[in-house]
Amino acid sequence: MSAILLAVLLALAGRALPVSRWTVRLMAGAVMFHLLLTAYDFLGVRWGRVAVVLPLLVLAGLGRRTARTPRTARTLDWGEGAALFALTTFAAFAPTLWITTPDFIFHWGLKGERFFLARGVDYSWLAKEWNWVIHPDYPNLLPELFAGTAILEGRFEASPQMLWSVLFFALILVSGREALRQTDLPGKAPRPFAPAGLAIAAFALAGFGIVHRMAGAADWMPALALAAALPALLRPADREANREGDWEVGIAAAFAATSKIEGMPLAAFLAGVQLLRRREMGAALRLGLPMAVVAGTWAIQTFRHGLYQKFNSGTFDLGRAPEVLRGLAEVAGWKESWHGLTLVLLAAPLLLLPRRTRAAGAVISLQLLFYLWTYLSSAVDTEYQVVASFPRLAMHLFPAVVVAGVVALGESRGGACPRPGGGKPLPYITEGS
Amino acid sequence: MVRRLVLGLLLVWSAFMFLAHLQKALTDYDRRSVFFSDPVQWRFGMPQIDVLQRCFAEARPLIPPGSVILFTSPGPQDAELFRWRWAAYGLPEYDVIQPETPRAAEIAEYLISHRVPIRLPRAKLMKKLSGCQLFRVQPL
Repeated sequence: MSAILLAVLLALAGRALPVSRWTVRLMAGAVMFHLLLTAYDFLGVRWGRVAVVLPLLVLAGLGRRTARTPRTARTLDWGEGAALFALTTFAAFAPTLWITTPDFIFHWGLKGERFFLARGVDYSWLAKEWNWVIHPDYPNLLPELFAGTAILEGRFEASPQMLWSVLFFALILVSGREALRQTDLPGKAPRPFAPAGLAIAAFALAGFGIVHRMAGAADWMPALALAAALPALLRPADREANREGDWEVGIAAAFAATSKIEGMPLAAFLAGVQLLRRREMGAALRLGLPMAVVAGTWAIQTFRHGLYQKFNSGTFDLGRAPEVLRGLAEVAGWKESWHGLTLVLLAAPLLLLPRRTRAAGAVISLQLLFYLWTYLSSAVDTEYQVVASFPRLAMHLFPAVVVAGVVALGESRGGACPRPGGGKPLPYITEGS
Repeated sequence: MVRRLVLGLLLVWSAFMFLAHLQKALTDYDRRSVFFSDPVQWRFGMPQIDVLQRCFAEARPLIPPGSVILFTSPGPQDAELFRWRWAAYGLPEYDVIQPETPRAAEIAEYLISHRVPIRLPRAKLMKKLSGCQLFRVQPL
């Protein structure tokens, strides 16, 4: 119950920022929660129930009521039904701890419980020389969510913490549905493919999440950041409504930056690509400020406590390419956890072709290139590193590639952007027009 | 037509992957009480984890929080490393180190020997626990 209560509080606190999608509100609340706890650490304030809950309630109170959008009664389409089935299956398994990620034991869960016991991020413990194994320099939002849940509960238990993964998975699907449904307008919209896209993403994520043991993992968070930014990235960039879109991408970028170290470049790509489309000072602030605050506080704490690990990166060497390719070929195999579905990522550059998916395609392709760059700069056994990490890294990109791919397939059927509120479809609105 | 075919293929592919993985996970879950594996693959619910948790539950009242515990569990290098990480997770209120940790002999205050009994000149046996032994390490 405590994980659910904290998630509700985060979503309500997210109303303090001008975003109307509940997925983005929850992410905004999570980012503010992270910044709040970081501020406590700077000030030496111990985390407690009042210290955690009260500011979130105040933020929730600051939120403006948004007008309710009229809802039309509709039944689930088959894609949504399939997605719900896949999500429910994962959700049923997760609290049993049978599919808990080893990384929950090796660092995420251990950090969460240690921070709960210390009532703060225990930097002196992270800096101990033997703790290089727990990635002491990683951003701490996930352990903070674990610790926050334990603070509300009064004790640390692993099982309820798995609900965070279930929630992030659900929000990835909700974001995918939102991205697909915003094309669900009168005219030549790519509607017929949407249920298939949602079902493919859900089945693949649930299957991978179960067999690769992803409950309790942080990898859901970059995947969510990218998925949550898709509706804004897939919208034309020059409408007045894009002010909120800037916030959505800015918050998604900050959320990515709080989640994992590879979320930092993802954050930069998200904000950078959207800024190239928007090209105005206000947009730069909305896109860059949340991420800059998160990355800045992370950098201060990491370097102040000497946490950065040199083995994160070595020297770039194209000579490692054969090892990288061998590793990628191995994880793309039929018998591996993705059953070969990672090959879908090869389609990412094709997303650059249709105008509607160009921004999403650019972010996905840049992140994919970043992963290849890290492998070519590997400071450890390259092939082993690829085999050990790429299936998880592919998860960050897979749902976004599927959703944007489905939009691209539909786009090339029509190619027109319908006028909001109906009427004759307009030619696609381009940047600067 | 080609687009529908591509999407249909991906849909069947992902649904098959999901069902295949679900079936495997359910089969493994049903066998969890007799599911033995390398420590790299350990999961909650396995007998090996239960043994460790019983050991830690009995050791905890005997060790002050914040102490440095040297955890030994000799075996192949990877297995030893992962058993150490499980021990660190099971004892979050302590600093759990392994024999390979630099200056381990200097900083260790307690020693938990898992699986294989050991003899160390400076380690005085405090208690035999379920599946492990607890020692007090005499300062240098």
